[in-house]
Amino acid sequence: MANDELAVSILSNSNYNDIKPSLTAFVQTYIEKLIEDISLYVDSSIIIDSIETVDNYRIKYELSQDITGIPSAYSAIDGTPDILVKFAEQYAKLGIDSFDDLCKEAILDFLNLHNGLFIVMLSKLNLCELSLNAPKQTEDVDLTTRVDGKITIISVKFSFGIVKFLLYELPGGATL
Amino acid sequence: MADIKLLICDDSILARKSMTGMLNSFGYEDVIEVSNGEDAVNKYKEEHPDIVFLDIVMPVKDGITATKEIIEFDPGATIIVVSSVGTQTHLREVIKAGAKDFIQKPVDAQLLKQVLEHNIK
Repeated sequence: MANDELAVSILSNSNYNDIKPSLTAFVQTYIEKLIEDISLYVDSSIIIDSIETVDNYRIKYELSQDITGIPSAYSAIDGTPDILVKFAEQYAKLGIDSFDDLCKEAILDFLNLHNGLFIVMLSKLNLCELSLNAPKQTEDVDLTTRVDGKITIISVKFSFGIVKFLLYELPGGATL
Repeated sequence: MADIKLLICDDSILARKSMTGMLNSFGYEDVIEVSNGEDAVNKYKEEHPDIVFLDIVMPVKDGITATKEIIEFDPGATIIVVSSVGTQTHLREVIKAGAKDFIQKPVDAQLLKQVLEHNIK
């Protein structure tokens, strides 16, 4: 099965089709590309636990990257340290066994790779020309949406636990 | 390959390790690594590498700015941009800045080898 077909199959076995009408085309495209990239570069045996939108979200260990341009967006990866370690190891295959700088770098490397491939795809489709800021890591961040936005949380179930991927499409060319 | 000096600039330690591993496997042992565009410009001036591999999205100084500064210092510099952000806009900027080639991440080892051999003077 081709990778895009696998992504469609994974998404069809989740609540994606129910929530899809409430998501912007940008967010829909991001989710579809995300599942394709996770399947290709991390693990093809994933299940979507849920896709939901919220107004507020607290991240303990922020591993994020801004997508800049119009539209712009905030993207991040969240999970418990033990699960993030396993995610990082599954992606990087470097013997990562603790939630240290190498682990965080591996997670940010995946986020940067996926976001890069996402904006290249949008560029090739002549939809928009976006860019990326350097990935960043901080702790204890409260995300609060503005009036016209929602944080989309894509919870992906791996064999070792659930990793949450966050996307918040920002109005205009704004950044958080 | 002993006389060929290569400089890799990427803020991701994974990307640097991966590329250095590939280059070593092709027989290139003299590989210098730095993690941002500013260090790349400074290291270029010190070491005069034969080929520079530069990422675009980096802290401190991005790869396009670093490319322009290296080319300003040495118009004959061979710079290959290696990035996940190969949008039409970025590709135009990279070529305009003076880079000789572009490799889309994730890096394919055979493509890297071909591009490298094509650009070795």
